[in-house]
Amino acid sequence: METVVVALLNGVIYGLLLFMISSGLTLIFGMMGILNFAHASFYMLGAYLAFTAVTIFGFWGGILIGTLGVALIGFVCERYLLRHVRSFGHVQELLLTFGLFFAFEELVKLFYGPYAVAYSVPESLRFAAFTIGDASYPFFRVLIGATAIVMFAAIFCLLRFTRIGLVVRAAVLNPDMVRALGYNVSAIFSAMFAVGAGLAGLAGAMGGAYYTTSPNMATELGVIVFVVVVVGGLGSVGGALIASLLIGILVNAVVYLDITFGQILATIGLVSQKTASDLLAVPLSSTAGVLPFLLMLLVLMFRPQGIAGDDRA
Amino acid sequence: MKSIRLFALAAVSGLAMSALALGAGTAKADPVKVAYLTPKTGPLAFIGAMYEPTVDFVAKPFNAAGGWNGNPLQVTIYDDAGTTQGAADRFKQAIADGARIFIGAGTSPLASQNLADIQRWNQRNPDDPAVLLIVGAEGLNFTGKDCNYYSFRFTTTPYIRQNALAKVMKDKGMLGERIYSLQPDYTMGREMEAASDENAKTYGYEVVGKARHDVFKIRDFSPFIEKARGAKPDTVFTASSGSDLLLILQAAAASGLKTKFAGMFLDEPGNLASAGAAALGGYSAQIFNAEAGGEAGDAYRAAFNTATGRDPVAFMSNGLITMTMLTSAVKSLPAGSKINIKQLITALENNKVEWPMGTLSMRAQDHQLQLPLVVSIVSKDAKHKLDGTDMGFQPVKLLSAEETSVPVSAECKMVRP
Amino acid sequence: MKSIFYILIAALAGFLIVLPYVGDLASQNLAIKVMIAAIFALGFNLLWGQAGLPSFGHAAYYGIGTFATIYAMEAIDKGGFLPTPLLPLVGAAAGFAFGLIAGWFATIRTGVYFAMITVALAELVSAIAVKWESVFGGESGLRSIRSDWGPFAFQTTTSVYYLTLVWAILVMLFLYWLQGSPFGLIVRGIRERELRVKFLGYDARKVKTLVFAVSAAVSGLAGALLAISDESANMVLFQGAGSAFVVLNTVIGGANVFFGPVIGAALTTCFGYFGANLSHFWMFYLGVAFVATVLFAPEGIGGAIVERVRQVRAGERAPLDLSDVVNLAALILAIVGLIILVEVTGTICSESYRAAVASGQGVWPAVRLMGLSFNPFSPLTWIAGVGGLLLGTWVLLKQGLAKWPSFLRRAELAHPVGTGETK
Repeated sequence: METVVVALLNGVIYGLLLFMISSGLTLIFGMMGILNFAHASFYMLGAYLAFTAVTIFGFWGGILIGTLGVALIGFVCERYLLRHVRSFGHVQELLLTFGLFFAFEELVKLFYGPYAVAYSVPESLRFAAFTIGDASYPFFRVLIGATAIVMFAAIFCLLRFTRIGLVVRAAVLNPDMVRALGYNVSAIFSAMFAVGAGLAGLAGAMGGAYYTTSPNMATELGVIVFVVVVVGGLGSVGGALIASLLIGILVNAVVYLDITFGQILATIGLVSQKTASDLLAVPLSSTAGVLPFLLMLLVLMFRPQGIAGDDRA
Repeated sequence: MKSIRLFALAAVSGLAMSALALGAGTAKADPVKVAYLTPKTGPLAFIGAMYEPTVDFVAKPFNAAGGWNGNPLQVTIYDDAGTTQGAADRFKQAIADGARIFIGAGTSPLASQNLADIQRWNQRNPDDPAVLLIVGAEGLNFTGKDCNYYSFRFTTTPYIRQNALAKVMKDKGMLGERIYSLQPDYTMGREMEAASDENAKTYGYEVVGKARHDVFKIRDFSPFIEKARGAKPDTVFTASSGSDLLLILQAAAASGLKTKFAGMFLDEPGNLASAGAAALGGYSAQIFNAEAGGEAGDAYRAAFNTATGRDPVAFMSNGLITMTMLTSAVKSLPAGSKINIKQLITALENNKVEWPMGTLSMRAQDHQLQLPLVVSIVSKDAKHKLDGTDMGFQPVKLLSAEETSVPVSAECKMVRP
Repeated sequence: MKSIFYILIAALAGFLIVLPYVGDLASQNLAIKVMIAAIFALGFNLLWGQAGLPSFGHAAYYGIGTFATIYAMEAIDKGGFLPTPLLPLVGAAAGFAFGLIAGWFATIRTGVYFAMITVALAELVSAIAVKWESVFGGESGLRSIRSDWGPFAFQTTTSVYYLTLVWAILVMLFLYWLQGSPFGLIVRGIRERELRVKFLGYDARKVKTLVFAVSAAVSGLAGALLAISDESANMVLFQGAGSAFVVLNTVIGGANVFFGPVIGAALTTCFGYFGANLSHFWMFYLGVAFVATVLFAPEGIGGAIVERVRQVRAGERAPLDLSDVVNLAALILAIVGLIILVEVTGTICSESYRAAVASGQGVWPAVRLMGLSFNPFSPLTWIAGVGGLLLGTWVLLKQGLAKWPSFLRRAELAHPVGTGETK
């Protein structure tokens, strides 16, 4: 029982962290349609900016600067680069962010070298929030989860219940009409991109401290953020949250399964016991890393609009 | 028609490029040429960054002292960018540049590519052979089924390190009886897992659980930690490296798992700083530890630190050993106009080199380096602190080369010309 | 005018034929790798440029071609009957078969969803290759050896060079023919207006699956040539870098020109080959070059050449004039400025430099670059870097070689924004 509770809790918290990283992408990719390959780079830049600022402004100051700094970088990228290629279509935008991903990773190595840097949670925040059985639950993990929930609530309420949210949603669906009504649509899009990047920066500043900060962190994060947005459904903040939790719980649960693929296939009767133990002795628990991709494939095939997306696909 | 013209235009740029290629390809003359193949760019750049400073540190004084009968050792670093295609390209480039001594300093896939290239070259050019010194690839195959007269391995295998760790921890009563194996899901991890199984009887423990994880894909290791906790292990063996290792240690520390971790790569640059207090109490089988080497070790560390700004840790030690043994073997060769590769191989096989940890030698049967290892523990009481932290590696015990040695693999059938 | 082009073609053909006699092992190998990258990029562009389907997982088909060929080479070595020169067909067949399956999955959706499926499939293949050691050889991979075939010996790099050259020409002819064939026209029709093609009675899904498979087959053929050249296959091939580089090559070269991907592949392969030994930061330069291409020359280098040829033929410009010289000078100036900035910054941020500062009692030594010394504290260094970069870029923009980005134009054009139509 305890194991189940701990596993579930771990899954939920990991899911919330995933949501934190990918919520910005829900705005950028899900609403603006920009397949932003550089999103993982924003996550990395957030961690590095925070790491740099921590020595001067303290931990919380570092996180603030990481967030705002990446929001600024995002703004500059949108205003001076992406907007220029928008008329050539989404593929050109995608290519640009693809190039930025390359450049950012090398830029970080240029300044900080190829090794991991010493960015971690300060001692004062390293304590257990509560314990279940033998497992203690670190405060910072809970804090990450809480931040993600606050983030979700803020984005959701902003988009759903405020006038700004109304205009943004309208600008996404029908930019020409919104422009005709006298709103500066370009500015709205710049701001959205900046907010999306800033959220990734915040996730990086917190995640980089809790996990590791190295030049490979963007590559290692990879495309999992896209998986979350696609599975959740383009443009749906709620869907992204559900997808994150689903993936989080799934990859946590599979680790506890002590069977191999060979055993499964042998039980069904597809292969012999010998093949099962020689060729197919791949433990199910070692597939945690690729499970999200399988999930995405299934979703794309059977429910392309995602868990909670609209019918734009 | 239009496209033919385009083709012509494209051809012009191609011509210009090839002309450049021809210019750059011309060989230089005289010195003993060594090709150092390592990733300097791409995601594996940190590996090349570890090796690079070790080259000059050994080669410079060697050349200042006259090199090989007045001929300097010219080590050229070729960047394979961490890909096997890159490694194959650089090999051919280095052959064209006139190098016949190769140092393959990368991961197992890269070393495999180097070895394949060396084998093919020697097969086709038996009169002009080349030799490969593998610096950092730990897969058993290099001294097992792929062992080769023309290749040497200058690092350990997971079997050697697991054996050393278990031996020392057992001696000091720190090992316990319940062992858990948490491994990265690739060759090295699987070998560490096999080693943990094999040594169970020798060191009187029971493997109470196993898990493998995807390499550099998992962010959150808490489920692995919780699974391990369920098995109630005394010690967890892991061959994980880089960010995987850090994440494992952090997840364990954060969830309050009170167990010892024993591994091989905790001393990679940046790891201690990044892991922070979570690393404390971790065991590591190190190749170099200044404190264990006494005065000689301290002096060596100080000299290296002055030259490069870092203590020799992790694979830097392998790089230093390789260069030291190579230069000493080269020095012992009779004077001549060109190095005879077979003589060099014999010299490497018979060579015994003193270094601060003890005597280094090369086993002729399988070309596996016989080296002393230091089992150490991350502690605030260590003499030399690393990475600007207040922690360092405190030696538990220094094992001599005889004590770390494991038997020649039965799969190794070396063909000697 | 025409005669110049024929002379150039003849010169190129002559050069390619005599290259092994004038070049050393390294330059032959480089030429082989350029041709392999070019075939891969051409195969990829069949999908990307012709069919308008953005794939981000083509390394999978390339790698499968390599592995299949290694198995075939091993079979030949053990007495199989397949002639070595036909080995690339094995890679192509493997790529085709796999591409058929993957294409069927991927073409269920379009646009970004299509891209995501290709990424997911590539990740799965990569994960399987890592885990399934008995088939893919684990970390150490598989290796084999080229066997001779009848009177043809394939032990030297020169023989591999000619084999690759022949296959490269065959593939180019095939793809060029395909482009103009009815099938190629339908493929482009689907790119432009899928609905209309459907109304004409074609099954668009089937056509797309088929073009995906052909693209994968050409990629597999490129992988097969790699297997023949390097005589090894490793799971590293399946990693993301392979998929990324082929996109880079195609876009830099120009996806809408048949020979664009070839130009891109030649440039980046040569750049990687030489750049890697010159600078730690060559990947950064490549990234910057890519971003600059996307921003200023969306049609790629190939597109720029086509445009220039069109202008010359229309009599709007001379084949070469003073502005070209100015442009070239400005480009070099901008590049030199960038290099100074990047290299000096990179050097003073490096560990060895900090060690040198520490051992020199806090004196910051000058950075050696291109035969000159740059003092990191001298404002001249930074003025030279920033100045060169800005001045060069400014001249390039002023000359009109590069298109002005909208934010620098006086009257900002109102670009349509929003989700627009996704492909």
